[in-house]
Amino acid sequence: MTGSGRHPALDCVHCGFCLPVCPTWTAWAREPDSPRGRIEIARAMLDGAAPTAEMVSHLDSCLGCMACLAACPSGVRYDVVIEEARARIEASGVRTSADAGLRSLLFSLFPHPGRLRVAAVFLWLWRITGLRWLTRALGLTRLVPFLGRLDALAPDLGLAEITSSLPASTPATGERRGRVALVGGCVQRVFFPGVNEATLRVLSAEGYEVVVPEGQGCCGALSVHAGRDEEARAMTRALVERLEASGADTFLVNAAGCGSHLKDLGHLFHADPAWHTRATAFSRKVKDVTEFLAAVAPRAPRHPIAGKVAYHSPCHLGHAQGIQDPPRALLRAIPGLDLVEVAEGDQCCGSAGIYNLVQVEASDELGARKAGNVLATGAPFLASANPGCTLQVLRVLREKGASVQAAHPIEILDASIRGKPFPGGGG
Amino acid sequence: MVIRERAGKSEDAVQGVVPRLVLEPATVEEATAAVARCASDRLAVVFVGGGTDLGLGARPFRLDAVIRTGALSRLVDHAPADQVVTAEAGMTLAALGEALARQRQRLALDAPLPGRATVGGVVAANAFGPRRTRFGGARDLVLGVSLVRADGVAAKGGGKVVKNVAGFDLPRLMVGSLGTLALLTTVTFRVHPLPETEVTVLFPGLEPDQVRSLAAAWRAAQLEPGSAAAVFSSDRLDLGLRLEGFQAGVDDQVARLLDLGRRSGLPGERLGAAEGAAFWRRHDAVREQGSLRVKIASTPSHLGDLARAWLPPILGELSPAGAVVYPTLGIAFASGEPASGAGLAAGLRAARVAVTAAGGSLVVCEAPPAIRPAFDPWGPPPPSIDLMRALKERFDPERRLASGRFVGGI
Amino acid sequence: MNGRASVSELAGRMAAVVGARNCFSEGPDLLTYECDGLTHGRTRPDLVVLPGSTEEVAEVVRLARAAGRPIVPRGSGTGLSGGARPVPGSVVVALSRMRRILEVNLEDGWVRVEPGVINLDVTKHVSPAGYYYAPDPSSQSICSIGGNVAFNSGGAHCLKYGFTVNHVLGARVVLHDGKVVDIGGPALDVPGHDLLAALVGSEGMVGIVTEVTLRLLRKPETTRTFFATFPSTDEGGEAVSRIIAAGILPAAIEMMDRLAIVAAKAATGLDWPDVGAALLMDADGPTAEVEDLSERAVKIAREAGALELRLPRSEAERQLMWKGRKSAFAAVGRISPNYMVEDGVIPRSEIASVLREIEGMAKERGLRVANVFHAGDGNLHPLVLYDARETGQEERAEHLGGEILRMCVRRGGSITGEHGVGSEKAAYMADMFGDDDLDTMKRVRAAFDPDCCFNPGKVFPSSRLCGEKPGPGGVEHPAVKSGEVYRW
Repeated sequence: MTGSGRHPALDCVHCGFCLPVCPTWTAWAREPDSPRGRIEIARAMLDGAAPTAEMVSHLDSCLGCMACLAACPSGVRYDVVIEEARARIEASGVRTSADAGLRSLLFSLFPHPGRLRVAAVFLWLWRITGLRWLTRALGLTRLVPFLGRLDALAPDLGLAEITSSLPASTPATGERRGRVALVGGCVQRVFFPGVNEATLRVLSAEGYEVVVPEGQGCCGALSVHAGRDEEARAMTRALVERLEASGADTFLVNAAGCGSHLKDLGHLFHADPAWHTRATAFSRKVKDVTEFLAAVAPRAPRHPIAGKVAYHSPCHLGHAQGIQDPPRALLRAIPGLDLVEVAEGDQCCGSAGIYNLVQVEASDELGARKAGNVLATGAPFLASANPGCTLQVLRVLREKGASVQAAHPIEILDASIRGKPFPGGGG
Repeated sequence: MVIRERAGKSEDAVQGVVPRLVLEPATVEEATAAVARCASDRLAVVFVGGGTDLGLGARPFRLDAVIRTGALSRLVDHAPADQVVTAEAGMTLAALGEALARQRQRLALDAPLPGRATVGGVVAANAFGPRRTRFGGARDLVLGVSLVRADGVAAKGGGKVVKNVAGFDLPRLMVGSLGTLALLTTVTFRVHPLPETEVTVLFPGLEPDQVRSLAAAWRAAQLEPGSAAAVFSSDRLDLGLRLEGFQAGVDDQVARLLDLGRRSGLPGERLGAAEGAAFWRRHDAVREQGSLRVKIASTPSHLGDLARAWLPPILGELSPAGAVVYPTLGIAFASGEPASGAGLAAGLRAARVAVTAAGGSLVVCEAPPAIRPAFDPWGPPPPSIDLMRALKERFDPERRLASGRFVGGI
Repeated sequence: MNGRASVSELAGRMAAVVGARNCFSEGPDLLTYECDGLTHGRTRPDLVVLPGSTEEVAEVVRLARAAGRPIVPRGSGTGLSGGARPVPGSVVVALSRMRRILEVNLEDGWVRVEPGVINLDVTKHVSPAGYYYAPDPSSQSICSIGGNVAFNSGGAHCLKYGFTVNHVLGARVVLHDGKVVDIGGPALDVPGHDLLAALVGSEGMVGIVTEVTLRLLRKPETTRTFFATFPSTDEGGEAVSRIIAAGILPAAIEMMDRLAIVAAKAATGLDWPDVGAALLMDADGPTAEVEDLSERAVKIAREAGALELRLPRSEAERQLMWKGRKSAFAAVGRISPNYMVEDGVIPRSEIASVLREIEGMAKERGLRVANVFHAGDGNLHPLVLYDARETGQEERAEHLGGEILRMCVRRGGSITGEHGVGSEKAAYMADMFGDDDLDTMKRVRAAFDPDCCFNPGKVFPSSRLCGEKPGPGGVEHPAVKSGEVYRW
């Protein structure tokens, strides 16, 4: 619900400004696969229409990139509309059992760093042994297509990386400017542990003590974006409790998807007054790490990293959180680094949470478009602040046989501070 | 209501066909009644304003009556603050221009023979002059019309404001329709402020390619001449560009144009007022004189073909001969006195084949009676001719208006 | 209408032409096509088809006709007059998939595009070469060229550069019988009637455009923008009149009143002051000329009582100023639960007094009206604000909107400057035109589409005449008499 107390779907005036920024409308030009069309479908459900398979398919085709949110002159809360509509679908039982099975498998995996780590170990085994028989032997054939997909996405990891963990506290280098808490992120922690390590080093070098509260689970973002509200609330409550207990008054996030969710917890708890107040207060203390660093005077000297770096703006950073300039400014401040924009930079790469695992065709279409635009910049390096995007773009680039090295802006900054070359994995 | 009428005389002839009856309405009501009378008497009728474009189109199949609009010549309404004027169809361009000039305004439609050409006739014939370069033609300046249909019913379309999309666009539909659909009784135009100053720059003796490259250069330099016309001088082109507006802007554009010319090795000249007027008189002579006048419409990139391939076979049959090309419009006019009818018809046919093949058109605006039977004034009908016929059927099912004068025998 | 094929049969045939993914016949899909940018009066079509080529459009038209179904063409669905509102039993033909830019010729200054191409994408395509497409409706980031052609769209800059009709050189059209015809062309003055005049602004009632040749213009060398604030629309209107009277032809001159400024600020975060009126003016052309003009205009604005004058310091700042103006319609959604956009035209010299009259009319009905308008050409966009949850407000708002349009006509203006008549304003056509005027327009339509199969029920106040037979006793139906309907 918005401030006016009515459903946000009713705020839509049908101007259509959201269409050209919507990746699925751009791809197919079909009204039901546009934000305006999905709002209509949500409105119909609000009016009592029972969800049907067609409705579900159009709502599922939304990447949740939130480009429409930024483009809407009327300020329609599309994020709320889509999440609520998805919650209705989940509650309606309209999904086919196969579809529901894959989804529940994903949701039993992704939002749980522990389980995801087990899956990653399994994937690692599967890869190094090439033993598909193992899956069959273990009676896990149901997992095969999904593993294949995950295999294509996941970066090369050593067992040590998969099982690494972060120190509970990292002291500031030199005089302490403040104390902050870091949210670890699920996918980030397992597949890109380097990002968290770099974040700790940069914050420390800049004079901040960093605590990483133990026992962090998923923030609930993936679930809320998919309409699994009850699950999301439980996860969010648990995480907020853990983080609050750290006593920090700034909570830093380096994964855009988590950040956009944690900054906007109010509506998830709109029906729970006590938690609504608590969550809203928490949200106010959440910052993206680039947003935080760009707002303070740099202390650690930057060493040159020569080369052209293409900047990928993750939807959950650029659109959902409106963070455009801070990561760019941090990168531009590195001597020798030539930051270039990617054409159609405001368009989603097709990763979009679990979208690339459940809407394979559309995701591939968008991924190919994004990869083409990245290649067109001619940059050998890519900066991407969201793990999902990085996985997606690297996968497509790899398939195209292109070699582009990708890293999180914070890793690049870390390399610069430590006088190292451009970090990160190649595609 | 008594409408002035008289028997037709030889000077009322339309391409040699003398009408039995001439009606000379002096008010819009009289004009409506005149058309209604033709309807009830089933008279085939041609509408005549100043008669400056009667040579356009074919000889009428049937002609019983002519309705002359010369007496329908009042200024209906001029709202200077709104830059809109409404005039009766028979008002001449010159008279309208005089009235507008009192408020420091003008109609940017500078068709030939302004002393005789009427606003209704100019719209019906889609007549235009060099200012079309910047201001467009009649369709870009007309806002509203009142008209009388073949069945004698008066109607209006468009409006008296510069912006209006209510209903089907009758005013523009009348542009170039040559009286085949209805009689225009009043026309409303958008008008423009009179420029503070105007200067003509002349680039004499250019090859067609030099005109093209100069046009590309001033476009690249983002200069905006108000008129651009190249007048043939033996086999070269004298290109005149007229800049209009406030003094500072005009001076600057003139200087930059001359500079562009110098850099391409094409010296130009800023003409004084008298010399400038003389250049435009040369231009006007081509448009206004000659017992044969033809118009070739193509695109700007065909300037070389126009000047070197399409016009010469026509000009070769004329003496004296003249031609003018509007390089930014891709339109040219040739005029003069034919030496021999047979040679000219052959020349015209050759030119038309080439022009049509390139997607353009060649239309006869004026021709001596001897040439006419040998040459279709409009050429092959466009692919949309069936729609034009359907339109005619809806407006004039008895085919009494300008019968047979238009494209495809409409 | 006998022998109508069932919807599912027809859907099957359509799907065979355009592909199953591009043919919608299920409720949840159809409901997203129930309206365009005008959301009341929603009507569900029976079928929505998205053809991908001229041939597919022709086949779709033939199938729909054979099935006795009315055809409602649709572009991006952003129209504000309900011009793409379906009628019961209709087949909506949405052209959004046809969005290829087919050919560009810069020397001759034209581009040939499919109808689903987005207005702004034309300019984006030719912009690197220094060209642009002039008509710029506020919705240019999403409205389609096909829709622009249907509605003869204007925009802020049409004061100097004209409307769509001044920029369309040619078109390919699918007619009621599925025949494809080319009209106009890159070369000017094609002999014969100016059929483009009949086509542009015909609101989808004469055929379906499948290709359009548009005029391209060289970008002006310089654009100078200024933003001026005034205590009230009186001074703002006076400034506009004096600027025009001084012989200055701005590229655009736009005015917003107090409420519209509040809304635009809310949507864009611009730091505009709270004032009674704001003026945004563009002058463009060769640099020396533009500098001279804009200096003159700034001076005139000061003399007319401007409170503050701002000149953007960068192109980004200029774009932001324009974004404020162009978002203003939808932005009103932030200050009112519901609103209606009106689109009337008045002689520009009467702006100030008309605005006072509108204010008085609104007060009488207890409603608020925000005004955003193209002041240079007297095109008003009163936004009537209301709350549909309050009983009676919507009716009062509709009534007020109608009264404003009638007042525009009384002042010698028009009921629409750029949004078109559509479904919304057909009823007001009779205030502006007499029966004979409307009848004459219907003849134009009938020449293209004798059975009124394209977009029935739009523009003309009486719409049920198409195809009706003369009544009993051999009395000729008025439509037959008028020529709208022919008896064969």
